[in-house]
Amino acid sequence: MMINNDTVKRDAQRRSDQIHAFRRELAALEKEDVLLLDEHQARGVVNYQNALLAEYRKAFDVDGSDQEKRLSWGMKIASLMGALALAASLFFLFYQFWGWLGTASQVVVLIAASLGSFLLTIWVGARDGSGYYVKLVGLMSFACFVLNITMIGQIFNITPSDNALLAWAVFALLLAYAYDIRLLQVVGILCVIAFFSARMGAWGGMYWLHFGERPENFIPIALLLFFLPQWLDHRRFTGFAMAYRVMGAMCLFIPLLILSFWGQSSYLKIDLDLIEGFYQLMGFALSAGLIWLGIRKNWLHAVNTGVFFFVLFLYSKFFDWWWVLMPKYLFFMVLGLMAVLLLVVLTRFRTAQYANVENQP
Amino acid sequence: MKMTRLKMMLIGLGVIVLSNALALMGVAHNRSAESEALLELTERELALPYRYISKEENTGLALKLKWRLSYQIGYRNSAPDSWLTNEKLRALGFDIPVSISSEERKDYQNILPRAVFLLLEYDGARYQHALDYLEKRLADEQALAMASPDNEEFVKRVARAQQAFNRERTESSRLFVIDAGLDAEALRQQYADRSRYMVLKGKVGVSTRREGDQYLFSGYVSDVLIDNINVPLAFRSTFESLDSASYGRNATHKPRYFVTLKVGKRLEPWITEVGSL
Repeated sequence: MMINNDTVKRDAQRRSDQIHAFRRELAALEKEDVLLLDEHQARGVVNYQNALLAEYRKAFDVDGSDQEKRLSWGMKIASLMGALALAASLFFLFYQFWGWLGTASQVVVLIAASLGSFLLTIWVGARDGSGYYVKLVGLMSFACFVLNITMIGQIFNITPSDNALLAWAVFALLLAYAYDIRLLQVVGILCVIAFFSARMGAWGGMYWLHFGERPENFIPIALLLFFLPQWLDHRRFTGFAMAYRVMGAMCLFIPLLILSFWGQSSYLKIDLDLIEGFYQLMGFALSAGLIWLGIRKNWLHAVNTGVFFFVLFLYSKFFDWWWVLMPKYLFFMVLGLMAVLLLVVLTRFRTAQYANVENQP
Repeated sequence: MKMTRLKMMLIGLGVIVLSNALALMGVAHNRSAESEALLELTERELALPYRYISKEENTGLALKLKWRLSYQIGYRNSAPDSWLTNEKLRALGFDIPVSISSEERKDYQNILPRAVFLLLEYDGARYQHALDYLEKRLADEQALAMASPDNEEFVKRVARAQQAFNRERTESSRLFVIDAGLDAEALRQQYADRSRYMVLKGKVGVSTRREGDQYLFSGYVSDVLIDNINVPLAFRSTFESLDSASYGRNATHKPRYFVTLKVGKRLEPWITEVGSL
């Protein structure tokens, strides 16, 4: 019995959960006299499963019970907080002492910190089955690289450039994919968003650091990020495809929301009411479309993101139209009724989904 | 999407080494051969940061480049700069007409700043104009006060004008932004003296102002991109006993140090010499 090399921690955890669920269900079926395995079969299944669980635990440090799972969440949070605190500590440490170093020493320390922390990440990654420590060191390595490039810019009075965002994005995504670090994936995606939006803005004539003031700069990269998991297979990476879709959707809907209220920030040189109306319509249509796509593809995260933005568009527009006109009790009553209506629609969708599952053999 | 450890290590090391190499090669290129400009400035133009007193958390030191526009003379700071005309703004890439009506104004309210090259003049005609202007204003105020010696308001105005003139003469920066363009070479050709004029990268923005029932466009220099100049350790000793708060309050009102600033091929400045005055 060998563990396939391609099996990642997520698959091991899922299989472990399945085994525990199977045991609970089997115990219930035996209690109700629905299914009774003979002693030979029962021992065979238990031995096989125990061996599998032992190997998963050894290789991937999977959680064996709900208690262990809760503890794992605590460890994940501790790892994240530790990584953020250590990254902040690195910045302050360098700022505290860099003035006492000559220029050459500053450069050497910065580059050595980047290289050293990266090699340390690889070393820890080869030894850390749980993944908690490599995540911590990986984030520190990224912080070192950000500090490295930023401080080289300050030391030599280099003109700020959006190219730094591209280098940070590549480095963050490299660490994220190598060690399954979703936080760094999100950071990498944010750098990618900033880089492409800045380039869009610069092509439009503005100075690149003002890219955030033209929300349309974000729309092309938002669509690219959302559909990226369709072209790249992410099955081996826990939650990576979800992160692309959610970040892509947010990168699309937040600019649409801004444009639906502040048409002046658009590149379009047409009537402001027309711009705002167009983006309101787009906001409703695309968030509804995302809910539909999420249901169809069974992407819970897409449904939730779609519902969140649909409601946000709806409520913000209600506020815009009726806050002054309506008595407050009526305004909130309309909001409440809309929420009920939305619940009814989603319940019907869910019932339809459930019926489909029930009809499957 | 499977990646071996070796491949991952090579890519990671490649990103770190390449990013640093590109940055340092850019620095070497900037500082190679003849400099774009070489100016000897003083504390008036390169000031200590206000935060320098609380240096426990950040031991680094960067001097702040204090640049001005023609209209920032004395306490007057409202009129647009004369050289940033409508025609100049269009040459810098702003798609604007000569004037607009109040209905059209909303279409032009969110014009974003553009990256340009700025020409800065040190201790030149603009600074002399500022001195002349403030000296004349002082003379005018003194004449008014002499004509009405009992008027306390006139006496106060003389004191204010005297203060503005003194500050201009001894404390204010003599570095003025006098032109902007999209071609650094063309700007340099107009002003060849590299010890008095320097070209730096900056940003120019546009706002509107009302005149009658029309709106006109005004340009403004929003930033010089590199206006914090790092002080290497070799030059730090001059600044150790100084702090920003005491300048301006000392009896002589004289700058306490000079800084030789070089600007390289990529229009990035750096300090080559520092000394006490």
